[in-house]
Amino acid sequence: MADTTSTVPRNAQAKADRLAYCHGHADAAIEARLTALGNDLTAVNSAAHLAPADKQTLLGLISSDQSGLTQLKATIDATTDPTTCHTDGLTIVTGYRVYVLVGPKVRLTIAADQIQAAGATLQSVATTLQNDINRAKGNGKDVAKAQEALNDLNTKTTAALSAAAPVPGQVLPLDPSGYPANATTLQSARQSLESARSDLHAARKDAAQVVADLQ
Amino acid sequence: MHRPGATRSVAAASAMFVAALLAGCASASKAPSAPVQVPTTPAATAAAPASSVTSQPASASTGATTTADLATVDAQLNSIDAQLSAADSGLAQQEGDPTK
Repeated sequence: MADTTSTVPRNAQAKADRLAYCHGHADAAIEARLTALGNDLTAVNSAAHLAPADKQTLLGLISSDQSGLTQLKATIDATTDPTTCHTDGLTIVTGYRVYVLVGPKVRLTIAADQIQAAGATLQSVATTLQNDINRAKGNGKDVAKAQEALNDLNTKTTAALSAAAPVPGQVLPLDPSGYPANATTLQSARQSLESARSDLHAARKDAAQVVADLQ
Repeated sequence: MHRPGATRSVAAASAMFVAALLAGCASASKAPSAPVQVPTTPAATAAAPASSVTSQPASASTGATTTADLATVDAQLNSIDAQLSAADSGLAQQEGDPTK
């Protein structure tokens, strides 16, 4: 015959251990995500060229997630049932997707808006360089190579701006409930920004080439 | 004791005084126009180098602007690279069960 008097306390201890284990891991997971959100917040606030509407959207998202996770921590800490703790704990990931969705949304949006700013600066440089070329040409200098480089600068800058422009509108609406299906949108946006980044670097080299050719 | 030379000297001095007085009146009457003319020459003199200054250093100024703008672009490109690198870190992550 089984000894039921010793089984009950063992089950109670196991349950308490499971609960403590769940609480510890859930709290650590939430703290880590709050830290990540703090880093995202710093990135947003220090981004010099973030469009006001994009900034407002990202700040709202970060603030909402911070509040939600803080509330979730209180809920989990108050739970006395390990199974409920586990169920609630899963929403730390599924309800927020801080690492795989929020972080990339923040960084891709900042990068996209910064590409717009860099492109605008390069367009301003291109105008100046075109005037320099025209002046040099008027002085009898052969400016064919400089003009070719400047034309490429303009082409690459335009391509970069076109590639980056739609990205904030693509990634900002993505929410945790759509993950992982919406991860493909993030990857696509990342590819667009890689193309834009590459074009801007090429345009920057073109600008240096024009300056060198006009020396 | 009166010497003719002395009388002549007094007369000459008087004539010079009157002439000087008249000259003073004459220059005084021209006074309003004088300040207008005096600055005209220096202004005209300053205008010549000013125009040459704006035409020559214009290209130097343009070059400085371009250099500054390209430095700005370099900083922006560095920041873009950093943001994309951070995005890649997130995209590469796998989020498992946070309670285990």
